[in-house]
Amino acid sequence: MMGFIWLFGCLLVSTGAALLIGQIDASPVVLWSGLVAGEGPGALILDTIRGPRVATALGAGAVLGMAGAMFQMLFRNPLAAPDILGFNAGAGLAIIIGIALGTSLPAPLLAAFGGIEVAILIKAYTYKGPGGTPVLTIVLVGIGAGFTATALATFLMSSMPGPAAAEAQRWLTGSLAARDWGHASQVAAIGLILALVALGQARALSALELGDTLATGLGLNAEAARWRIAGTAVLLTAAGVAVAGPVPFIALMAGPVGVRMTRARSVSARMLSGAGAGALILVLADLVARASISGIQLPAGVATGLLGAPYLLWCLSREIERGDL
Amino acid sequence: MAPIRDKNSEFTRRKFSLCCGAACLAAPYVSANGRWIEVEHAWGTLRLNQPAERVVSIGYTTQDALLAMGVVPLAVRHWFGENPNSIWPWALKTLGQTEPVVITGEVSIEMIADLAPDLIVAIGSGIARAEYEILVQIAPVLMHASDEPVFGSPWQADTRRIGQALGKDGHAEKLVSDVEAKFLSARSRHPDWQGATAVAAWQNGSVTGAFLGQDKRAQFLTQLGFVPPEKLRDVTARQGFYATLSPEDLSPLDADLLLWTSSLGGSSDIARLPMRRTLNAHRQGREVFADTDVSAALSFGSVLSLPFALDRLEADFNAALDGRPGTIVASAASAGLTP
Amino acid sequence: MLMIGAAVALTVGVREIEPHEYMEALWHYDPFDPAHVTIVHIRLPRFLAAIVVGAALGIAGLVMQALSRNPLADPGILGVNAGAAFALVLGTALMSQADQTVLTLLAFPGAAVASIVVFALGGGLKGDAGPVRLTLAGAAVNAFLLSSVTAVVLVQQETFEVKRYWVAGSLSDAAYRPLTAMAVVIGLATMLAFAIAPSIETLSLGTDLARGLGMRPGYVQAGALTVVTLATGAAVSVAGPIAFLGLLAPHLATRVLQNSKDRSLRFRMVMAAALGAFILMVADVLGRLIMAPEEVRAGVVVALVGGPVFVWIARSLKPGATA
Repeated sequence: MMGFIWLFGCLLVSTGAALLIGQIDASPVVLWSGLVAGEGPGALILDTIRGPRVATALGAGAVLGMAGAMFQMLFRNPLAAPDILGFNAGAGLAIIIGIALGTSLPAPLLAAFGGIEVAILIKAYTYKGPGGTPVLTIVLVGIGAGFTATALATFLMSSMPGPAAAEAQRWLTGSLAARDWGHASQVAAIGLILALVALGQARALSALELGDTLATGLGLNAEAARWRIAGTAVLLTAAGVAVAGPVPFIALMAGPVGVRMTRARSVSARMLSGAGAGALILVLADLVARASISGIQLPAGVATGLLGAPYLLWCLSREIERGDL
Repeated sequence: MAPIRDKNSEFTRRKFSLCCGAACLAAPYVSANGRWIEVEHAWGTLRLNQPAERVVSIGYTTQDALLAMGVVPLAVRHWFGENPNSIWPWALKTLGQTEPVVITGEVSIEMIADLAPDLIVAIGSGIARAEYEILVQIAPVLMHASDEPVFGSPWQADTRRIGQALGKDGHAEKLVSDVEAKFLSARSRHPDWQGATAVAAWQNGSVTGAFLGQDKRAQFLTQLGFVPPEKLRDVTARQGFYATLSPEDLSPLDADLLLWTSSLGGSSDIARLPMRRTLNAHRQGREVFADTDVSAALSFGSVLSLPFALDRLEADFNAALDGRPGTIVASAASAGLTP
Repeated sequence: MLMIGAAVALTVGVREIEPHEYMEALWHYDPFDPAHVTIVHIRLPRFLAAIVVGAALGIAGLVMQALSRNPLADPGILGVNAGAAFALVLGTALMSQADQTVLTLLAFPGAAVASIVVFALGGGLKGDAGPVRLTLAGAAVNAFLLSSVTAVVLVQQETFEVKRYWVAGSLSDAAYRPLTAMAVVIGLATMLAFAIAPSIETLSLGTDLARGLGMRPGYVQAGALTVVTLATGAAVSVAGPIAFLGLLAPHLATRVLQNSKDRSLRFRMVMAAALGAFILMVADVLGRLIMAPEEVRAGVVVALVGGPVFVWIARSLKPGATA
């Protein structure tokens, strides 16, 4: 419980910081007068520029983090992430195809579609009938598909003229540029619904963690449950990617980071801590990316690896020292 | 921070239209009394009730047109290069002492809001619709015309549109015709260039390619009267801009004039390319090398950079095309490309 | 199989070359003849590079999978690709130039440093780099480096061109890279790999068991990681990152050897090396042909073709048949 309070506290502080800090600094006074009066520079920041951006970051980070935690529990592998099903690669490919064809659909939306399609393809291809598909097969197929999608995307991108390719690059990295309240509410609404579904599946997930045989003994159809849970996680990822683009590494990092901070044990607790950690990482990453260097604003995706990775490594080294891992 | 402009209170909906001649683009209007400006673009219509004075330039090359008309932008978008304030040599003298803010990476909406501009020029900036929608709440935004590609609108059109938004149509028109006249006079000075073949080529690592069609570098050569070599016309073009060649067969580059553009690799990769030595263009000393500044001027392809490039290249083109293999082309020599 | 690959790699390409020109090119080289230049400066280096790089990646992948007991391991997990990319992009940005010499000088150290860091962070210094730790450390370092690369590329758009052509490896630069030097490095790595192969096999039975048998796991791990670092670093220096070959070749080798009597690690190494070289050769030739005259980079072809092949294999894999 203490852990969750600590996580929540961090979230509050980072949200506040994200609203206050940027390329242009705004004092709390200005922001408060903006909130109250509904007009003026404070309002512009809160209402149009930073407010929706931070809100979207929280939402997208949360859904991505929860999805990542679910995958890691489902595949019992700390390296599992939606990318195991080739999601990010499919998302990236969709973006590149969209830009190459000159469509005006927003890139994140394309990304979500691409990711879902790949996931569906994987499922269809590995379906072997009621006998069930070994987890390893799913993972390997997913990785193979992911590689193919990345290769296609790389190939297409190398045929684009310079500035167009650079623009593609920034969407591929995952960007929270110009988010409005529509995006924030979209990810919040979808995320909330899916989160409830996911929490409902927590029991099934804990059973699966014991191993297939035991789970079936408990009366669970392991295969079906696995696909259901994976499906929820993919949809969660899609919801996040639809507003933020294929932000890398959050799904990977949020799980372990969340567990570290909250010492969560049960499946639902780990899902929630994953969500919280994901939100924290994305808000902070976006803050770092857009405000740390004066005059240079980078997309959020650039900072997710920069922030999450050292923390993960620090966790790792402490656990090695304690002989936990 | 200065007060943020509220779009609705300032712009009422009076429309004046004065049709320009049939030769004009279908869209833009300037009122009879010169006070209302409307310019249609790909994502809407730009409306100003007076010519813009505080301008933010977020297109990759739009600062050149602004500077040419005597307006120093408050902010400039950084594309590439190490120039202070991201202003290249051909635009330096128009800058004076001012130092515009440089925007790097993603367009920071906060920074733009803080500058309180009257106009945001976003032609060739690559911003997404979502970014446009937010920027337009800060100041009117000028985009490319709906029938132009995002990153390839002709410099004449860009200059004219920007001129309109600044209320300097006449000035813009004069700038455009001055540059075109300069090219025409170059053509008349060198009748031997008409119909000669020329290629603008690039080298990136081990990949060699050429610019084609609508690309600014290819257009530069066409505007001087050159034509692409026949073999090159057969090579497929990627979206009309450039083509990559097989390293085993560089013969499409064998033109009367071979212009190498530089990239980050400088000229050493080109110099070391063994296949290049088999080209007649090389053995007869018909290669010209465009160094960093000239190459940049060619890729900017703006109203200021094109005359700059022409000045720097004319002598070398002459030397390369004089029909005597013995003449050394200065730029090729310094780049180590001579036989 | 390799003979066929050799013949194909040397003779197939955009330019048609008569058989007699091959002999002429070798004995009476004329730098102004396009056919000779093609043979000596383009096809031959690429063929040699294919052998060297393909074998290196095949062996490195196999060692990686055996060491980390993870059938999904690819040398890229150790961060070598990301390390090289980061060194390249950063160096290019700082030095404002990116000709071939610069690229070569930066790639190998970048790759080497990255993998050393991963090893250290994965607990290798304490002699206990377990598979999970190693892969987690690798994932974290990869995340960090790739994010840094993107940051640099977005700020200095010139470096984007470098990165764009780097992202998928290709043998086309082979003539400019220090092929002989890297071949020596890879040769050393291969010898080391063969030397420690039995120890790795013992180690895969379990760290404690291995210790009980009198082995020092730390040394074996260090040795294995040296092999992977040297081999992959050298491969990356010559051809850029060819993702996926290190993952594909060992699996194919296992598949091919499924019914053979000798399933020792050493034999599998030979097979993986041969397969790696062959795949790369074929990929390079295909890359030259499918969109002539434009070339598709070998790295892209490997992934495009290898991806579905890998998926097909994975589907029919018997559980427990890997690693």
